[in-house]
Amino acid sequence: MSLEATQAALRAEHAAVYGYGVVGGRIGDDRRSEAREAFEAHRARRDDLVRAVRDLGADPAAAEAAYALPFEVPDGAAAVRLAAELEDRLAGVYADLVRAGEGGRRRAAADALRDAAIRAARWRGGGVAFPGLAEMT
Amino acid sequence: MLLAACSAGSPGRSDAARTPTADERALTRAATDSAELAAVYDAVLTAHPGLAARLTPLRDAVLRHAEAFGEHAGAKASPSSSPSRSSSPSGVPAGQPAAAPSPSGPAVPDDETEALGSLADAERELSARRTRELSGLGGGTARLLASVAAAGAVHAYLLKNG
Repeated sequence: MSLEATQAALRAEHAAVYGYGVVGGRIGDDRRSEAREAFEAHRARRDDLVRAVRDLGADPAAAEAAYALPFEVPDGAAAVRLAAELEDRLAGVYADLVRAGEGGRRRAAADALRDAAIRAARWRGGGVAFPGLAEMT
Repeated sequence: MLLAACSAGSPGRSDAARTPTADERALTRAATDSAELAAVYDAVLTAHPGLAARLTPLRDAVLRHAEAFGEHAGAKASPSSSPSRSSSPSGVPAGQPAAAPSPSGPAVPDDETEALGSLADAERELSARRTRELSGLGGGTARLLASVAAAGAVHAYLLKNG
């Protein structure tokens, strides 16, 4: 159960790293450094999760060659929407990882949930009442 | 494991006689904490009405947190009866002290920026404490608490930078 949720979080981070590559190609200059910072943060989380899956004795889920985007990303405004969407999805998988994990892993998942929620709010300029809980919105 | 407290073999036992589980205690306390935090928002809003557009959405989210915690605590304490919103409008379970401000009310800085800063600090401290206390709770309770802790961190960010 914990392994499944950890692999799901890893797959979501793979997708986020890919997605932020797209974001970086379209984002306006004013928010480029923010996108870069998020890209690096997600690569680090992805690497953490690769280690976590190995610690659980399994093979880490691999990245896909490409991911379907939820919508067209022709300009900076769409890039900002995509970045917020990526963070929303991560908040959801990390909330599930909080449920599945215990101790230090649960804490790490809660920290990742918090960071995703803050980034989503930064991109959008506002937050939601229950980050990561799709059933509560 | 945590559901064992709601044993079907003791239908006549009153709630008062039953020992709350760790999850119930955490949820009940979280409901009280959120209701008290909403009272701090109200005190700031009273002192600084000009901040209403900025603070009201955050205060409303905090009230939703209190309500959700209260409902979850109630559902765990008595799974057969659906919790009634009307009985606890603030989300604080019945029998809990409401988030009564102290007689003088929370102290609010005269300066708007300082008032926002004190709210941000309150949000951040509560968020950090909730994250520290996730250990040992049931998965669903931990997930809800972690989400609300994340929302609190977002509030702190928006209060400082919004």
